[in-house]
Order: sequence, then C-alpha cells, then structure tokens
Amino acid sequence: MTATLETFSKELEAVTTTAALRELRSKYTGKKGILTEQLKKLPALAPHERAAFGKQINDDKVYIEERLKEYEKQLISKEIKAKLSSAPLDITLPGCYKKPGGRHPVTIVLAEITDIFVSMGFTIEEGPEVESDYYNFEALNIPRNHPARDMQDTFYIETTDDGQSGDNSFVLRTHTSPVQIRVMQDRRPPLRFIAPGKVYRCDSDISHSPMFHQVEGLVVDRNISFSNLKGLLEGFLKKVFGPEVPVRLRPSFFPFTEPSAEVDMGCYFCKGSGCRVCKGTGWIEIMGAGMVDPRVFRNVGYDTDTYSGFAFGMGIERIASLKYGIDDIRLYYEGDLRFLRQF
Amino acid sequence: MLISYNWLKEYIDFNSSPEDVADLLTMSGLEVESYKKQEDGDVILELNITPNRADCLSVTGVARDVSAVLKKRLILPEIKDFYNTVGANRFKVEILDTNLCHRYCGIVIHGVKTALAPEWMAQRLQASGIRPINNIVDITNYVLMEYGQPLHAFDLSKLKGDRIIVRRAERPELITTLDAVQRTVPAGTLLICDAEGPVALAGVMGGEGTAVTAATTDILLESAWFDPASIRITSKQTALRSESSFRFERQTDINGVKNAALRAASLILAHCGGRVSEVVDNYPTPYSAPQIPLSHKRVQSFLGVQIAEDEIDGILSRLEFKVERQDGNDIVSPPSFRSDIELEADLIEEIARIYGYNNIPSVMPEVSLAINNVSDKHSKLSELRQALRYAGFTETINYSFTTKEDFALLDITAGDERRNSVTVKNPLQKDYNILRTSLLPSLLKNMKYNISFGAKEVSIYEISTVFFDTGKGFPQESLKLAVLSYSSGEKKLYTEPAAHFYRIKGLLEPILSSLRCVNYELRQSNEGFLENGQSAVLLIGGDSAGFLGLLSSETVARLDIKAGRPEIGLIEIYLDRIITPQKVSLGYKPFLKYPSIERDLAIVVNETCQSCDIVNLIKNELSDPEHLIESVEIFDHYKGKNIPEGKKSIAYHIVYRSATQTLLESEIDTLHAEIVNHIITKTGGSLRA
Ligand SMILES: [Zn+2]
Repeated sequence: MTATLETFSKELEAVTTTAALRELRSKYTGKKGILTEQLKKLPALAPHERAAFGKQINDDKVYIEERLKEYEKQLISKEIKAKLSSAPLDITLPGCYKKPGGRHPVTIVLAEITDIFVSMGFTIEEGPEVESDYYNFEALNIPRNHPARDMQDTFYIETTDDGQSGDNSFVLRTHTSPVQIRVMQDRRPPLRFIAPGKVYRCDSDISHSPMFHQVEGLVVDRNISFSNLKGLLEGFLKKVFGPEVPVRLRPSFFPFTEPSAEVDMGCYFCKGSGCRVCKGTGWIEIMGAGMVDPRVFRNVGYDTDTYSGFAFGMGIERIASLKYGIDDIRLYYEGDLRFLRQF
Repeated sequence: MLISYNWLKEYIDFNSSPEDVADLLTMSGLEVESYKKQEDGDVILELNITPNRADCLSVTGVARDVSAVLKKRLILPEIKDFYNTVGANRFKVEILDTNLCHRYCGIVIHGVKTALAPEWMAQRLQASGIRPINNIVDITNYVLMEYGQPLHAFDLSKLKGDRIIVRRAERPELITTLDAVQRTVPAGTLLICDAEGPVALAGVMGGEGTAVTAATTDILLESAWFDPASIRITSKQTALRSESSFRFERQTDINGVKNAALRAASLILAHCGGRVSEVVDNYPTPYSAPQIPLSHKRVQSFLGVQIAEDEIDGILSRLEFKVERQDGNDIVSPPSFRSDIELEADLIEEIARIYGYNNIPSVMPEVSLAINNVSDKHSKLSELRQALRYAGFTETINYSFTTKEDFALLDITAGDERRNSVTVKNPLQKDYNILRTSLLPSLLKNMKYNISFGAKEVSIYEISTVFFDTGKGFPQESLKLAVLSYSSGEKKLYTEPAAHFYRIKGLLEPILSSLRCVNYELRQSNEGFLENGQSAVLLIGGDSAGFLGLLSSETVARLDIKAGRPEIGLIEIYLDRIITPQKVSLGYKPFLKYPSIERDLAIVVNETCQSCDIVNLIKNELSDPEHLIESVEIFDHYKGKNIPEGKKSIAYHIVYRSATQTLLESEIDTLHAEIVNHIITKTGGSLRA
C-alpha cells in the first residue's frame, strides 16, 4: 500500500458525516486534490518510470473512489436512521385512507341471488316500474272485478288522457311478474331468466313497506314439471340459507300459476321448535311459485302442448331480514348510516 | 276466516287432534295462520282462504276438504223440504235481470217470535267473529257460516205488494241500508225491490225499512245467486263489505241456494216457532257443469311423479268431481261449488294438493342450453357500486314517492323537465303523491337524518329509477345515479388533498372512464341550486347528462344545518345515457422506442383563464405540426404570495418524443420556445420568474 493510501485510510476512519466525506473526496480526487497534484509530477520523470508511476496513481484513485462510495452508502443510511429515530411516529394513529362505505343489504342479497341463477344459465331481464293494467294484471290472468285483485293493494297513476281509463290505466307494478309477459311476447322458448326490481304495494307497517324489491323467475322449456320446480327452489334455498335448511311446498293460489305453491323453509331462528318469528309454526314463508297457468301461455301465444314452465317470486327485504336479523322493514329506506355501515 | 274445531268435527267422522287438523289443512291449501285454545276446550283455527276457494268459506266446505284428504266420511245435516206444508203460491219472485241473478229462492214463514238465539249458536257465531243479534238474524248467519250461502231475512209485513223484484237500478236510486245510512247507488246496481222500490242492495246489505225487529212475526227468507263481478262493483262503490258480499263476489254454490234456505227455515221453526207458508224457487239460469278432459299421462308428466290412475280418479271422486273414463282418459265434471275449476291444469292442481306436494320428488330441470344476449349493464352497475364504496360512499335506497316541496327546495322552476312528475292517485300520505324526477332531495333528507344523529360527514349515493310524465301512455323511466358528500367543516386528523369540488370531480371522472364513457365535456353549470363557479354540467355528445358541484350557500342555509362551515358536494347523472350497449374495442399500441425530451413551463395568467384552454393551446396543431408532444401534465396551480392580485400561476410538464428518430435538444428548444410564445400571445400572460 502506498503512503497516500495509508493516510487516506486513516483519514477516512475519522469521517462521521457525509459533509466530511465530501471534503475528503475533494481533498484526494478533486481538481486540486492530492492525486491530481501527484499526476503533475509525471512529466518530470524519466520516460521508463512514467508508466509505472501513472499506473500507481490510477490504481490509488480507483481504490479511493471505491472506498468512498462504499463508506458514503453506510453514512447515508446511518444518517437517515438517526433522523428517523430522533422523531419516531405514533404508529397507533390511524392509516390515511377512505373508509369504504356500506353496501345496502338489499343490494348484497340481490347480488347473491343473481349470482346463483346466472351460474345456472339464467339471464337478467327488466321491465318498467309503472306498468299498464294489462301487463300487471290482465295478461297474468287477474281480471278486472276479480277478488284476486285484493291480494295486492295497488297504487294507481293519474293519467292526463283520462276519460278512456279501461286498458289505458297505469299502476305502480305490484310485482315483477309483468316482466314474464314482456319477455314471452318478445321471445320463444326455451327461456330461463330472473327479473329483479322494485315493486309497490299500498300498505305500510313494521313488516310491510309501500316499496320493496322482488326477484321473479321463469323457466319455460319442453318437459318442465312441478317436481323440477321443487328441485330448483330447494337447491336455491339451500344455497342461500345453508344445506341443512328444510324446505316444503304447500298448495296456494296465484292467478298466473296452476298448480301454485307457497314455499316455506324451516325457521331460521328456532330451528323448527316454534318462536315469535314463525308464529310458532316452525316454518317461514319465503317464496311463491307454481307452474305457469295455461291461460298465461295462451295470452302470449305459447303452445301449451309443447311447452310447460314454472315461475317463482320472492321478496328481497324478507330474505335479507331473515339472513341479518333485521326486524323493522323501514330501516331499509331511512338511509341511516348507523344501519347501512354495518354491511 | 275463523272456524271452531268442535264445530268442524261435527261433520267428519275422525279423531285427529286440532294440531294435526291445522297441519293437514295448511298442507292441502287451506293455510292455518293461527290457532287459539278456548276456555271450553275448543280450538279456534284462523284460516287464510285464497280467493279461488269460495267453497271453503264455510264449516261444511272445510270439512269436505278434510274428509277428502283423510278419506273419512262427511256427515252433513239432514235437509228437510217443505213441499207438503206449503200453501197457495201467493208470494211472487220476479227476476228481471237473469244475467246478474241466476236463482232466487224465498221462503215465507209466519208466526215467528224474535228472541235471543240459543246459547250454543251464539257461542259458535262469536267464535266465528260474528256478533249475535236476535234468533232470526243469527240463524241466517249460522247457516252462512255452515254452508257459505248468504241469507237475508225481511220483515214480511214491511214488504209491499207480496212480491220481490230483482232488477238493476235504471237511474241513480236511493236506499237506506241497515247501517242507517241513506245511499244513492248508480244506475246498473243490482237491487232487491218490493212493489214500491228497493229493499236491499243485492248481495251486499239489506234495507233499514224492511229489517227484522223485535216486533217481527212474519218473515221472508232470501237465498239467491248473484253475479260475482256485479256484487264486487257494488261493494266497492258503496265501500260496504259484508260476510255476504265477500262470499258472493267469490261465487257461491248455485245448487246450494235452496238447501241453505231450507236448513235455515228448519232452524227457525225449531228455535223461533212459526210455520212455513210458501217456498218459491225461481231458477231461470240452470247450472251446467263443464266437461274437462284429463289425460293421466299429462298428470304424471306435468307433476313429475307416477300417480296411479285409480289414485287420480279416487282423489277427484272424493272431492265430489264426476269422473268418466273415455279411451283411457277421463272426462271430469266439477261440482257446482267448484267454479274455480275450468281447465286440465286446475284438475292437476287438485290432484297434486290432495296427493300431497310433499310426496312429489324434487328433481333439477333438464333444459336446453342457449347462447344468450346478455347485457353488461348489471356488471357495470356492480363495478360502479364497488368504486363508490371504496371511495367511502354508502348506498341508500329511498322511496320513489315524494312531494312537490322538492321543487321549491331546489328552486326548480316551471318549464324545467324535472317538473313533469308522475302523480299517484292514491298515495299513502296525501302530500307524497308524485314520483321522483331527481334523487337529490332524498339524499338531502338522508343527510339531515344522519346529521340529527351527530354525523359530521355523510357520503352517500343512490342508483334508482326516476319518472317523467310524457303526457300520454307510459311515463318515461330513467336510471339515475346521485351522490352526496357532506362535511361539517370541522378539523380532521389528516388534511383533504383537494378542494371539495375537485374531490367530487375526482369521483366522477374514474366512474365515467370505468363505464367507458370518454367523449364527455364539463362546462360551467347554471343550475340554480348549485354554487356558481363551483359546479359543472356534464355534456355527452353536446347533450346534458347530469351535473356536479357544490350546493349553493343559499340552499345550504335553507337546510338549516347546525354546523360551522357545512359543505355539500353533489353529483346527479343519467346512467342510461352513459351506460350504452356499444362495444369498446380494446387494442395494443407498441411504445415508441426513441428517447423523450422533457420541458417544464410555468406561466402567470389571469385568474379567469381556464387550465384546459392552455392545454389546448399547447397541443395546438399549428405549434406542433409533427405531433412531437407526447403528453402535457399540470403539476402546479397557485394563487397568492409572489403572484399579482387577480392572477394565477399554472405549471405544465411537457414530454416531447418522436416516433421516427432521436430528437435533438436544440430542435426541442426551438419548438418549446414557439409554444411558449404562442401561449403568451393568446393569454396575455407571462412566464413565471
Ligand atoms: Zn321460529
């Protein structure tokens, strides 16, 4: 090792700051640095000595630069560390981010139901929320002046071209079943779809809301039977509420299905032993369903000898209420963040 | 309908417990909603009878169904006819409208004595929810509950001219009904009249003048069949609903008309004394049962279960359907009390419900696959919800109903399309009688609600349909998104990165790009309820598709929020103008391989000068004919110290790159200088020192 390097090494050891390091660098490799000065002696040397001398200086330079670079890295990291540890953060302060908003329970349940049916090849269809009397009632075999109209308390729409009420009267749809008619008028079987959306009933209390959400489903194909309806709905309910949930169908009445069924599932809360929610029966009404009434097929021009089908409908708020234990339907429409942020 | 277990038991030879009967009824279509044990050991079942099952609106009707399910014998009371005791045919029944009245049976009884009904009868009526009045009226109600046939007793002495005339009102006519209300009924209403005028609203309510009183000794007992729709119309028009009208509008058993009258007459003779003087049965429109073909094969394929032929026929027979075999299939005639049975499908339902839905297997459908045209609207909407959620916004859903006060709240003036609201004829709340044309008032209401619970910040949105009256036919429905972000202005832990307007603009921009909406423009908005200079209208293809901005300070003041410096940012856009079915084609462009040259530019301009105008000047065709500018980015926007009053400084970072060669610094220096000059000339600005 040359004397230059020995001095350099000693001096380097004494350096503790990056500023001092910069000074040391310029002292050796700067424009007026030691190495530059040494190089100036070169012309004075004998020609045969020059090569060796030049190489020596160059080697020293490379060595010095490398040592400096290495040491500089260490110093910087030491300095950063010193700075950070001198002002430590309170790491328990919250992270800076936007807290995600709440999802609406109706949207969650609707998405879950939609996913299940889409996975089975169902499409999603829509229709208007203000419907004509024809689509909401007549085409679904609910004639005027028939007691079946009492099953759904209806909101009527004021029309400006009154005087010709009759078939021109409009209602807020009382169910999403009119979408059945609209799709069947438009397409031929096979059909497999669900129709989600808002529906309206002229009724309001702790368990009834003047507006709520429904999903209607329809399957039309060759050889569709009542036992298929049972199979599909049982499978669906077990997917939503768990594989253990008992499901039963019992006879009921809907003007647009025949045979019609009310679909019950074992009470979620008491597991069948009877409680307030299931009025002691151990069962909870969860859906309406049935084989499409031939009168409905006739209204849309489907051949009832070739095709059969089934329809089903369910209230989304009802399913959400059971799943999440929500006991007042008004909570869904108040926009209360204390409620909505829980989802 | 309330029904006593002990009463029901009288008609069936069985010993099932009340619980078992309740379960059996529920599982065969007559849902038992509740059952209550009585002190006397009886059990009252509350049945929910669906509108198609008029035949079960009576104790014997329910018993008939139970007997069919249990295969037990039905035991009905013996009905005695009175032909032998009837005298001369003095009393006349004239049916002038045989379309609306198919049958009218009248029994004249003389010498009755009104009193209280026997205790057991009064108890059964009470158990069925009917208030006992006197023995005559109670007996008509008892038979109504027993057979489902409504009856009416007139005080014979008050009927003029020894006759009943069944006719429609020719013009609006007056009648005082049993409830002591004088009513005018419209022309066409079916009326029961004596020689002088109306004595009852057919099927709905009797008249006050001919009612049975304590002084009554002679009566006319009425049992008839009226057209269901006609009774329903009268009941709706008069807002009178009775046990009678309820049954008539669901259709009564025309063949049971006389039996019920005879049954009531027997009970009257037994409990009120008197003698039957006349039985008049005017039956001009005889019942004919439909003949419905039924294929056993179809029953099996439709239900998906192999039910034996004998079992099918057995079920139908137990339900009192007539079954005839023809070429291996059935021809089925339903009994007169089953007017709901018209088609094969109706028969199949009867078979299925007695066979038991539980006994039908559950099998997944086998279906034909098809390629469906699926719109991506739903996946786009769920992406949108996801984006809003992670931006901190909570979804709300509000009623579609609202009030006209919304217009005043947002200063929406006449002529604005949002005034063309759709009106609901029969709202639940008088003022809430229109459908929304804007979602913002609902969100403002949600906001106030949450503030009342102490919320300092409210970030909410709603995606819902709005409705516009088109003046004709269907209203126009549109899907809207509305967003509201409220902050009380109180100090927070970390400072917001930008002013409120830029935060909501920064919410809208990624929404639009995630919905693949690129050709939009934002311009100054002139919505009255938005703060001037802090709001913008969203233009797509030149048409307005919504707006965003801060609620004007006047409107905020009107909302009366108890907060220091409340700020309310709003967005409302038409989603169906943004989510369009057009396909966006994606494609890859290779990156340019030549190095870029970068230059910064800081310019001081008038405060009113818009940043995007300067960008347009930079990207100008004239100044950059060879398209060497790759990107222009704003990195500073500043007003205040060191900048003169009324001016601002904006700084841009410009990247130059050629597609064909390596650029020379000198080349770009020239181009950049030209651009700077161009901007200074056009804006009257100066380079920032
Ligand atoms: Zn329960």
